[in-house]
Amino acid sequence: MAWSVWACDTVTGTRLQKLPQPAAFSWARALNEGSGGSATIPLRAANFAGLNLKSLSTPLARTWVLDWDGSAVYAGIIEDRIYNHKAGTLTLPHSDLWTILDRRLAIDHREPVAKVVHQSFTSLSSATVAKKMTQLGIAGLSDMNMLLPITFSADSSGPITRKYYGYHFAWLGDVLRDLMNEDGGTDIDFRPRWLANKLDWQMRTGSLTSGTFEWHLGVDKSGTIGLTVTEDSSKVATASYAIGEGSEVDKLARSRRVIDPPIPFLDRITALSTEDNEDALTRYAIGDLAAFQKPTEQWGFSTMASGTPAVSDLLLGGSAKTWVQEDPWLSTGWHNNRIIGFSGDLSEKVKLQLQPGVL
Amino acid sequence: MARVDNVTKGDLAQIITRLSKLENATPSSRTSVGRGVFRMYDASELLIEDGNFRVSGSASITGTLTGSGTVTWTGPSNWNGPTNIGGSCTITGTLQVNSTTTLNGAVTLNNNLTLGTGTIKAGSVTIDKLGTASGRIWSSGQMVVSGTSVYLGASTTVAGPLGVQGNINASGDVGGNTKSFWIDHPTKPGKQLRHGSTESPAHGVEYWDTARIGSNGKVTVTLPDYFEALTLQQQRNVQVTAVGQPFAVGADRISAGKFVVYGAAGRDVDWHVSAVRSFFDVEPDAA
Repeated sequence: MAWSVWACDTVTGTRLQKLPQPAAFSWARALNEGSGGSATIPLRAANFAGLNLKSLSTPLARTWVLDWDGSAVYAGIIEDRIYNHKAGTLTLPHSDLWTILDRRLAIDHREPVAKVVHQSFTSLSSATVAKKMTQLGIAGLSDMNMLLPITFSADSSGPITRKYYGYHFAWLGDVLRDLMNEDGGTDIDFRPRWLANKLDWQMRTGSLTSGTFEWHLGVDKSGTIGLTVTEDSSKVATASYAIGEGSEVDKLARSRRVIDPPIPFLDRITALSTEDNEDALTRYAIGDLAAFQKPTEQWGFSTMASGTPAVSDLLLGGSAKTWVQEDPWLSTGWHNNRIIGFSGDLSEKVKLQLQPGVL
Repeated sequence: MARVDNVTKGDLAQIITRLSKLENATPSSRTSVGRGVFRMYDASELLIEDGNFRVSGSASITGTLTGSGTVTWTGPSNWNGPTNIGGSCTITGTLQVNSTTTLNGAVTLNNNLTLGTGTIKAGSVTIDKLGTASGRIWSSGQMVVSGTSVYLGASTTVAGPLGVQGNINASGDVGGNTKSFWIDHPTKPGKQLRHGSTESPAHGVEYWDTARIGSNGKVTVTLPDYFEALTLQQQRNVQVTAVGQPFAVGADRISAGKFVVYGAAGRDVDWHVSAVRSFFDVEPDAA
């Protein structure tokens, strides 16, 4: 069991070349947001000789997939190339699919005057609205190279009625983030995988709670090391305001507050300057308050890629049950969290990020 | 619970997102201006396509307001300056004009014109209300009615002299303090001849003529065939006068519209019959 790296075509997902082991390859996966890392290629190493690295590492056109024992764990779209002559290295910063979504507008690119074309959705789940907007983001004319290898889940109904105005020229990534951040919003994970021998981004949406994984802290040979538990109150608020479009007294705003908070009253504002939907603002305010009415608690520890569970089995959003015993700070017993991220390099060590969540 | 605050990540992405939205925000949607002026100038336009332009406060226009569409106004409106209406104007509600009104075109009234406290003047002729229940048409000069007939449906008082150039036909009484005729004097140019009427407590009829006594010493005078129907049986009076050298004359009472005069054969007699018309009240109550 070992890591391998593949160079793939970003647009088609076609595997182009299995690459020799880079000198370094950092990577990260995160729930509901993008992540990335960096690869370092020792150009003077013998095993890289003869490779057409200029083609295999072309920024944006190439995606490097990190494979663990035949399963894609991470895929990073090459963003930059930094050649260091003295060191003889090529450094390749890379990011996952969100880097593309953050650079595509949520408009219909097939329309000649996209600013007057609006997208309306009624009685759908936020997951389905996210799906349809993503599908819009990869739809284009044949000479636009818009397609990306993404597979989608089925539609589902829900309470979301939303309209996206072309003249707002919203970024697709922002649209998806807004849909995630509101109350009852969808989780989104673009999970890389091999499908028909090609790279495929599986757009996982909805409430991503699949998978239950267990780790035993403090047990010999468990492979878990370096537990930290952070409680961050920098965004804590007892009242949340979601501010929409408009000015002065006509500015749209919705708010929610905590009744009898256990901490001093604190405000929080989310500015959504293009939002005209009052229901959406209410959902943002509620979602904000739900996330930030108490300090964010985040667990971090490392485990082994080849351990149990293996890195290739990890699912973002999945249930992370952690056994703790004889600890001066944490109570003995099972602690239930969600996997919100994991990262690593080409070593066996995988760093997990967990937060309390739906189990 | 999709919102994830990953403490290992910074807030830069969120800040960029907010900046991006701010760049493409449309603050003119739901815009308020609480201070100063929202000014449009240099031929810029405020275009209301399928939207709505509402003024819940006040709007002041010191320039020109033009339009070719429809103006619908349901509230009160005050126009204090000159107003020109070039097209037709239909008023279905009440029109109240508090100042001088000049109508230069023809006016057709298809409904009532009711005078309040004002008057209608046509030269020296004035139409106004008289009290709360009456109205009047009066003139400080001559008032001419040039139609073929004038109908006065109720009791009519003429305070001054009433000149009539044609006939007066009355189905009722023609009464007065005195009754005269005025005619041009038949023999004295520039003068008039005025004769009065004699009065009696009876509405009488008179007939007179001359009859010639027949060889049998009498003659029968036949009165008009309506005489019996027109007159009372009482108060009939027949007077006869011998013409020429006196001779004895006499006459019977009128009967069946006839009477017999007696006298010298072959002589003429002037006769005079007076009678009273039927159905007249000589002393009615004052009006």
